[in-house]
Amino acid sequence: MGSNKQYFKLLKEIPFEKCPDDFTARVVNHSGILDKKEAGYNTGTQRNGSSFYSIACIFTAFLILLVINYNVGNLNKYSTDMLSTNTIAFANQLSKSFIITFVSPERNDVK
Amino acid sequence: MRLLDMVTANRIQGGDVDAFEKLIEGHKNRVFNYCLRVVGNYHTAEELSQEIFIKVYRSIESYDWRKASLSTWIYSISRHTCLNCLRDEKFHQTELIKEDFEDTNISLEGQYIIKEDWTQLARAINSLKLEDREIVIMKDYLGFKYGEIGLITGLPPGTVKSRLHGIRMRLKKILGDQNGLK
Repeated sequence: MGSNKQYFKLLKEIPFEKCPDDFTARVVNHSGILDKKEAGYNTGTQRNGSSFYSIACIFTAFLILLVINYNVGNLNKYSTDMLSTNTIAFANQLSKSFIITFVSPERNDVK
Repeated sequence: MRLLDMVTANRIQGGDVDAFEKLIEGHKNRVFNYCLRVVGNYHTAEELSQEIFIKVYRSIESYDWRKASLSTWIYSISRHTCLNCLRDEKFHQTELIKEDFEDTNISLEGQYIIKEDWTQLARAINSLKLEDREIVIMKDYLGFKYGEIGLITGLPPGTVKSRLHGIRMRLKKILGDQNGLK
């Protein structure tokens, strides 16, 4: 026997054994993962992380609605040339409000 | 695929039993056959396979998806586990010869001939030194890629390829000599 073809043909004939039917169940039972499952899937870090993500999404959605509401409400007052200027002014005002509200409430000079 | 591995690992780490079961189902037979062909004993291979997946679960936090796929990582653990078994235990390798054929479509004479041929090859593989045996099992029997074998064994893929070529030559010579004696 010398050819590659015969070698690989014989290799394929070597039986590929299968695990016993209860193999997975035995591993799962002995691994300790079921104890973790009873304790709950999420750890404290994961729970805190998902709460922060939810709050961030809500806040972002609120900001977007504010911007849309302001621009829609003023479309009939301003021409398209002035719209971009108005948007920049609005963003400027919003950032000032943010600073006053969340960063330095005592900074009345930014008004 | 690596991102999927990362997600799977995170889910298992979080205690997701379904994810762990899917992982086991996807790899158990190959892991078992790897152990079987390396250690050469059916019951030991079964115990080692269980031990491997338990180790996979208990060390899942150490899996780094950027370095290797989950599959490669599992087989690295399999390799170390089998090597430790062979080194630590007074272990007698028994030959793996399938006594019974369930396929009744093959005639008795045909079954005898088939049994003889692959048994010779299995014996020849068993006669190789461990480092060579695991390479031929991973590449020719289980179908791993050279890169994967390199990551698992710590050898460059080029070295794996050249070693495998030499191993195949030796196996063919062994089988040729055995056939010549008949």
